[in-house]
Amino acid sequence: MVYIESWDEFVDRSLQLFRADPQSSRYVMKYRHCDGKLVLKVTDNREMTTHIDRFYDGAIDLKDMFFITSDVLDMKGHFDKLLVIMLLLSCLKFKTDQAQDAKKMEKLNNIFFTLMVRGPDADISEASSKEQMEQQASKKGRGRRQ
Amino acid sequence: MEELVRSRGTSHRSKSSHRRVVEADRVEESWCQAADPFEQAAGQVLLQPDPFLNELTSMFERSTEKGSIWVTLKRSSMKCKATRNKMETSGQPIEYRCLVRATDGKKTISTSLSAKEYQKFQASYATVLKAHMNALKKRERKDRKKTVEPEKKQDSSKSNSSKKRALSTLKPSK
Repeated sequence: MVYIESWDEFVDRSLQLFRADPQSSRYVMKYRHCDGKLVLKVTDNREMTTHIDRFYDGAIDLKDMFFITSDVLDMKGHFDKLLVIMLLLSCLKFKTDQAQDAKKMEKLNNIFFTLMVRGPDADISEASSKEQMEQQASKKGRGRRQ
Repeated sequence: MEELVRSRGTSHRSKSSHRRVVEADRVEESWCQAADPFEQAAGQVLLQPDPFLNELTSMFERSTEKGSIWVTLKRSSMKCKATRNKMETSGQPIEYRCLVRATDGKKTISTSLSAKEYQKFQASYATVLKAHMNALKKRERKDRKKTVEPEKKQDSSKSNSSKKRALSTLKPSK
């Protein structure tokens, strides 16, 4: 389990993790009003041993994985490399106490709604609340004719 | 089943959270086995989207002094594995929905969204969150004025050297 400090990196890795296993992955939000804390988590629900087995079976090709950087590939310590990959592959977290992150989270919520309903290959480039509301309004108009 | 409800409040312990995860997925599998489609095996209640949002709002209102709210999104066909395998082998298309669960540690509610419903839901959901998640810190205007431009520069330099710096933003948790 890893806390990612950069929001953009958290989003990119979360989407990568979800797309790698859309059936098992889930997106969790935890909010504590008394502490003013927000924690987001994306996990594929697999134990690390599963990822380690897949790695040794050659099912995970590091070079094809988006965002697995040359830093990781060049790592001399085999165990260190493995550990970083496994952390990134099973559970990602982001924590914050900032209101601006709640606004960013709204976009991520919309992205996940779209991906989960329409599938991991769905187009998310327009997953923003304003556009969705406009689409919904136009859909309602069509409905009335019936 | 009781484990599911009890372990909700101890999310900081990895063992119980794993158990919760396993329980939660077993609950999902139990959709097709429950006699009453609206009453689920583990005490979860499956609601229509609007009642779900109303109940979620109540949960937020009840949890201001203490406690947490968890909301989980998951892709689901809402069918158990046996049914899904049958449909796959017979070539039937499986319709997937977005399962949304919410809990305050004691009570769990859920709803599932189809392709037609989810856009309206996500807008209402955003409204609920905006209205209730207001304990987070807001940036002071002084900080914003000072940091807006340097932050923009930082962000663009971050994306350029993101390949090199990707690892530096990782922070292992205990």
